[in-house]
Amino acid sequence: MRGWAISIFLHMLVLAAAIVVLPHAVRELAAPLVVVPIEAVVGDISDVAPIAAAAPPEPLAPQPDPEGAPVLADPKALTPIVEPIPDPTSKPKPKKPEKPKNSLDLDSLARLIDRSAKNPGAKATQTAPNAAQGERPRAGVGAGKGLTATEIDALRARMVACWRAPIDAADPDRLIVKVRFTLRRDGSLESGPEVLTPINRTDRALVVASENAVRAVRSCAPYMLPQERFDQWREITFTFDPRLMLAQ
Amino acid sequence: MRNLITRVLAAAAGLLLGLPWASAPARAAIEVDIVQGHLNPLPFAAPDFIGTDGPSQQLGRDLARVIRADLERSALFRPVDPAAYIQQFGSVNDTPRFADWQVLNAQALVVGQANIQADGRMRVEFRLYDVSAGQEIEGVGQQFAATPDNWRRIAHKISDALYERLTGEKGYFDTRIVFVDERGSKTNRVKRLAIMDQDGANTNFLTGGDALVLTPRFSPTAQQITYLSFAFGMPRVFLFSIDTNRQEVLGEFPGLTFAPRFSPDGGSVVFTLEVNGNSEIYRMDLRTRERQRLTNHPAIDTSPSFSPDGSQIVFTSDRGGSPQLYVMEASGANPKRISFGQGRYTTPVWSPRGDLIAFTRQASGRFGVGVVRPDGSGERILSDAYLDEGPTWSPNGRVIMFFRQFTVSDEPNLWSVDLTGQNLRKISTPGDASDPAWSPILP
Repeated sequence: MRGWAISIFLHMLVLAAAIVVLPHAVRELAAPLVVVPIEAVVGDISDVAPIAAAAPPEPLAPQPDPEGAPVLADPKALTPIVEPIPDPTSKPKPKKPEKPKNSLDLDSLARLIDRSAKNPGAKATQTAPNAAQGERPRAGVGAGKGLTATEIDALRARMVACWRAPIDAADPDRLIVKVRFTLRRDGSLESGPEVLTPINRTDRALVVASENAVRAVRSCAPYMLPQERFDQWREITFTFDPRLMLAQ
Repeated sequence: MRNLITRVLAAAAGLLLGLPWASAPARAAIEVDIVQGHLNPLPFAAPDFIGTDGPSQQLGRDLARVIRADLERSALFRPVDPAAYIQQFGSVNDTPRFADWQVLNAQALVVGQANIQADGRMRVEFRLYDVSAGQEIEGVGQQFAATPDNWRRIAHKISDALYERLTGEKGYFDTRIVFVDERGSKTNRVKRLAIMDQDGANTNFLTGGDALVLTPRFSPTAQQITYLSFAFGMPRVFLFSIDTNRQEVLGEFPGLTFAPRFSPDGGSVVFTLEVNGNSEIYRMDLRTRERQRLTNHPAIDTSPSFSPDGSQIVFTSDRGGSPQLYVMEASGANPKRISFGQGRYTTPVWSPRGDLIAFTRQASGRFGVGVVRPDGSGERILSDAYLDEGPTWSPNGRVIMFFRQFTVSDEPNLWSVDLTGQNLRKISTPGDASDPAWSPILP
């Protein structure tokens, strides 16, 4: 009998708790925070003319925030983004008109003849007659024949500042990108960079890695290399390989 | 003239006959392996979006401000100071003068336009340019439409689109954070569930302060959270639907339930049930309400978290003498210990990317947040303080948020850190805050 009483009492207690506490816990709710899907209109946007292009220009009165309500704890309000003025010494590369690649280029054909047979000057720089022992260009380790190891190292050091390495991607070991480009005598880009690594366009990480490699070659131009050996560094292949950085 | 033609013909013949010869020793391409790069943020420019009247101009300024701040906070991008911009755009279809942006060292340029349509809805379009290449970057230009009160979400959506196009990974800007808002003295602490945008804007409270609430966890598929509440005087797992404000207890159990977390499909919840001092991990199907016991061990088994493919579960167990991380199959079979470092390992969370598990480690009287591969290799501690606890992943698996206390008397606050251990930042919240949980990307 006593057990029954206790049981009934406890049941009522639980029931009362449920009635009192549960609505209580929800009480202070405002309207539900319904998430409205943002409508994405995918496709080329070039057809869309600005609607108000024909509208009369409106006098520019200072406008209040259309939101009205102050935004609670907007971090941007507290931390203005201040950026130093870019370093004026890192000058942008002069943009030179690109030669049309597929048309017959008489100049370069003529140059080819000069170099291949008849231009004694070019021949002389290649054989370097007065530098039989001392100043002969030496091949860098694992590199081509045209630049010395020191020059290759300088080139690598320069690229450190221009190449955003993808070592924070999900699967970085496979993001190795080979590009080829040609230079003019003044070290500016003549053609390329052309990506030699096969890129599957659906592989987003590899697409971005190849774009970063191309951007690196562009933003590091012009390349200051020894003038007398222009023939040898006119065409360059870079293999951007993040694996060594990962191992560090 | 004849001479020139002869030379050209000779050259052509030379090219045709002797391509290998033409690229013989003197012409061989130099091959260089580039093995060192940098991790500096990409400098970008995002001028205020163009507006055609007063309200849309204000909207355009706000959109660009939020986008610049989103990208800057990721530490993968660095906004060039807008005060230095030279070119003014009159339309989103204006061609950029790339030289003007190269001078500023901007590598990417975003140009956008906001229109408020006759029906009151806003429509925002934008283009992204590669400044060094001097051309538009394809595959990102799109438009978003919504009511003007959703302008911040449009800005976040654009940030996500830019982030994805420039990094190759999904963004995480159009997301929200649920956390426990804490007010009052240590002895009379009021804890409420609160929700805010990922950047700290738009905070709202989900529960009143009557009952103690802990460990909110977001569903990976819906605007739903599961959490622990003392609303009935003892810890119970609750479900809360943000869209409808509906709140319910997760089933009736003969003991205490805690440490809930959703499965990757959002269809079930794993949690701990403690009966007579023994804690075991259970899974409950949210539709059928059937429950299944996954562990069976006299030790404490708790804090389960699914792998993103749903095939495995990481959890904490002290079956080896101290709390350590274990990985088992989703059925509960083959539990295997993966943590072997110094200290106690708790609150494991599997990354949405699948490659890592975040955890809290307690060692030498301090708490830190770290990551380890699911096979137990590559453990790294990303943060360390008097108390760093309760990691949660951004939906793209790149950023971890947690809560930190500097001293025993300090109040908890939310912090975030990159997977690399860089970019440690305090998250601004209206009060003290603990137990953050990151939402999936909003629709």
